[in-house]
Amino acid sequence: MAQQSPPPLGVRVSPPRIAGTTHKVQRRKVKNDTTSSQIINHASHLKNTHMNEMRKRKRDFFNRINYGYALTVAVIPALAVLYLLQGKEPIIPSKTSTLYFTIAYFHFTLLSFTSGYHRYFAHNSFKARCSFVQYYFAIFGSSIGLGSIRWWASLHRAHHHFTDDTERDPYLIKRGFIWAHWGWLIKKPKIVTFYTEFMEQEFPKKTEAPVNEALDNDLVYTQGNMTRNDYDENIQRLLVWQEKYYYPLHFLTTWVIPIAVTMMLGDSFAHGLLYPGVLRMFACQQALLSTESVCHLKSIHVSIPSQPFNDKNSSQNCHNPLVTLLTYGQGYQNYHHEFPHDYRSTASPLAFDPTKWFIWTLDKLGVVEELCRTPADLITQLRIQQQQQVINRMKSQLNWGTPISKLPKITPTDFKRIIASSSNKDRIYIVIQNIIHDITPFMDQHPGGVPLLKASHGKDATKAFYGGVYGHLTAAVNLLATMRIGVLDVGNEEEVWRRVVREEGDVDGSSGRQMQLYRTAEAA
Amino acid sequence: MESLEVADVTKLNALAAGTNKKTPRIVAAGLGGRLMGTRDLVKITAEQVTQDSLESIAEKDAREKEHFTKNKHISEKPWTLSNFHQHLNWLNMILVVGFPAFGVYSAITSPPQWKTAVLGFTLYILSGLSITAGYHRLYSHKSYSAALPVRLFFAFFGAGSIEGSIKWWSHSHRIHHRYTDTPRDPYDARRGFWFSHMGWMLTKANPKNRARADISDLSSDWVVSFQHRHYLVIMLLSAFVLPTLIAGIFWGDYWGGFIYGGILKTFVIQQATFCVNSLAHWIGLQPFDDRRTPRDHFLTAFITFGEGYHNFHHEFPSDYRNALKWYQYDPTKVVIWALCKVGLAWNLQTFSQNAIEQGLVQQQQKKIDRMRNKLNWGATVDNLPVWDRSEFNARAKEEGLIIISGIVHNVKAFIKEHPGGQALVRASLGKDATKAFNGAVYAHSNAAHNLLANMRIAVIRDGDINGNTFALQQEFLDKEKLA
Repeated sequence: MAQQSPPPLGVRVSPPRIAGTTHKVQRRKVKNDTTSSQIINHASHLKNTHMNEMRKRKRDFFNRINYGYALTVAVIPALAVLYLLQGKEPIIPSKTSTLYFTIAYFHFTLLSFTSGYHRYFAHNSFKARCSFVQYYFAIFGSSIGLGSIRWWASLHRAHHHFTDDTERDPYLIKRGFIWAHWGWLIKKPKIVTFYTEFMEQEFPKKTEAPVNEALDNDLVYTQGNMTRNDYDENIQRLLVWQEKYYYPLHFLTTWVIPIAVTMMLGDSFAHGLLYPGVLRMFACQQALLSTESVCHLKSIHVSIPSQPFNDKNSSQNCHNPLVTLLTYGQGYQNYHHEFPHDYRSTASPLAFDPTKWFIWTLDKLGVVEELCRTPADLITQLRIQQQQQVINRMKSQLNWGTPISKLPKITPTDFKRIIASSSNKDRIYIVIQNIIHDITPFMDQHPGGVPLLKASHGKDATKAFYGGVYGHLTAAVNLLATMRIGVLDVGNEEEVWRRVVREEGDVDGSSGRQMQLYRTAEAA
Repeated sequence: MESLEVADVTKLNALAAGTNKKTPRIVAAGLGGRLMGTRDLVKITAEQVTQDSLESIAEKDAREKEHFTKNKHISEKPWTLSNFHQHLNWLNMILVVGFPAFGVYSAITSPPQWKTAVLGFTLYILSGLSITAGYHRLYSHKSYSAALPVRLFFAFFGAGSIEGSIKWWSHSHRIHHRYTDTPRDPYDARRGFWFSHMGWMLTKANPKNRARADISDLSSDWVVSFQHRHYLVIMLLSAFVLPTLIAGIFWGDYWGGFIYGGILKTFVIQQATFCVNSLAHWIGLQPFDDRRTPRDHFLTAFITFGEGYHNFHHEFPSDYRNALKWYQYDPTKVVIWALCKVGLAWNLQTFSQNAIEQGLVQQQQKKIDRMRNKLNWGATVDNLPVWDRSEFNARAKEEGLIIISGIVHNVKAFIKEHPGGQALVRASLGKDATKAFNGAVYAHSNAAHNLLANMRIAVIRDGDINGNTFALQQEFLDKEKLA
């Protein structure tokens, strides 16, 4: 845990990041007011720098590949798949015991990653009571080949903090599906320094003195006999150790253990390498990588409201059972992005979510504690807010009639003159609640027939409209509002204005206090 | 100030009930008149209608009760063994229950030839569509205009489903739309599923719930008048003679034609139509308005050729469609549309998409508001106590307080649960963390804002550095005044 005053992240990081662009812009400005030859010089200079950059990029190409991940994520699985494509071996292991071991090992390692790397280290969804759970997470999580905990979890946190941020989101979906799936692993990120600092801030290597000493004593929570600081130091030591021995651990869990077990079960070395080793690793990787790629694609509209909590970022709730299976139950990204430290991936108790079951079992066994559940009220609140936004958007696209405050005032005498004029002979004007409505375009559609409308022409039909003849409801009232043409000026200003306040207050501030609060929060 | 003439409600009601004209016959004479047992129900004048609708319900009830204490109508007496035969409308009982029962019995004892079955099914479709596209959408709601051949077709095959003449059917249907969910509604859904399904026509109705609707536009159509005048003959021809003769002459199955093409077909169509009155007010969703009983459901639509989107239909009755979405089942709409393309129908009425979406949006808003009221959204800012900075400073450390947007929040219980780690919260304890909360460190989600609202405990007097500008300004002004 970081023990610093509120770290001015953006501030600390911005100088190296922005430097390139601002610098260039400034130089252009300076050169703007100079002579033409200077402009040409400047242009050629720009061209040269550009060319140099291109050359440099070409030269850098091999430097920018992340060979470790390229090997574990792309090359080795690709070789294995190519080997399978030759048709010498079946996709499913022919020996039953190997098959069972592969399936068991798949779940064993994937669970250590989803509940360990993801829920425990990246999101703090629960606390471990025994250190062997942490070691299980650290050792078998490395068998997936997605990097050490420090690296993966801090990138994952960056992804949650800066979702869809063009520069800082490590698996930015805007750079395309392939980038979000594999690219971010194979290519080194451009802003390495930023991520390194971010990692150092999220999972520091060095211990720092706690800031609020007095408070810690007050709010201390004990971990068996350990104090909070011991606990954090333990994790920190573990993370540093895991990062240091990541490759040996990876080699051990991906190669040595599967091969050894398979050979003990009486199968060959090659099968042990292929099935529980590489293909299992490949399957696990796909499950994890597709949550960040498939579940962030806007074009995947596989569920009815795919963004029930927040539609301002790219995360989607994928209710498609295929996606759910593919992502090992982690397809509900919209929920996860809103409630990241919930140990479940969705609130529904029926959802396919092995990670949740696994953590729950660990909790019942007493190995972990303090599972973090989002209160149901909070989920409903967010759902309501999102629906409200959608409705407001829909509302603003509809015609709700001219607001009363914008209607012209017409005195009864004028109104009678209007009716009497020959050009309005075939039109129908009806006054309801002191507002004049031109019913002519709607006449033929009136379900109660034209004679009723004609009989009320030029009269106040409020009573008849609201129940005297027929109690008109929602749709009819809405339609009526679209046909307003004026306010009848009978000297009763107060009543009209009361209605204005009620109606127009209703139209834009319908969500009331909550929206106001939200608005101020957004503005700040 | 000159005031405007108020529309005379009595006169309008007279118009709506059609009593301003020479009363057209609504119920067929003689046997046909008693067929549906409603002759008593239409004897009412516009004045009565108006009076009733304007007076309060309680008052009216008291008056009617007083009137009927001496001389109770049979429908108001309780059902007993001795008087149940008076409650029932025996003619309808025979037509709607007796005949079909006989038909079903015969059908079980003699299975149909496949040709007869096809004939029965075809006639079922023709008569059913005549009811939905003809009786209902064309005549009752005038949602389009049709050419003479089409109207003749509807009049003939519609009569074959034995649901009364167009005039009678449309009249009671218009009453149903005008008085939905009131005692005047002939198939009042509030009185239970079975009453709205069949009960209303099997029992004798209470004449105090009389109502009328204007059908002068129907009386002017000679097809309607002709069908009404010769209803019995046309009904017998279309319902029984035609299928019997077709099956008999072409493949010698007179009896099968009568049972399957006549009785059973009629039975199925009648039940389907009843389902609109009962099932469509019983199961399904209410996407447009939940103040009345009609509901949208696929099942009802499937049974009734697309009349099951009833919530929409009651909101927008004169729309020729009942279903808007492509995946909703409404073959009647398709038939009318096809007739329009062929040139046999025109003037198809649709309500504006704007009005339809307004209805949807308002209903959704209503639902959301209802949910919203059930939840705890934290104390409102107006109800919080006001603290000075010194008070905050004194209590902040031990109670775990943070200022965000000028409001003091108690985050002590939350520190451990903070997703971004405890350190960040701990570091901001006793400070103004507005900027950190709103984006300098992490732009918190809506969920976080909601959670924060639940932790409010007070408002700070000078929350921000600039917060006291107003007070200073006031002070300055006061000083100026004094000077």
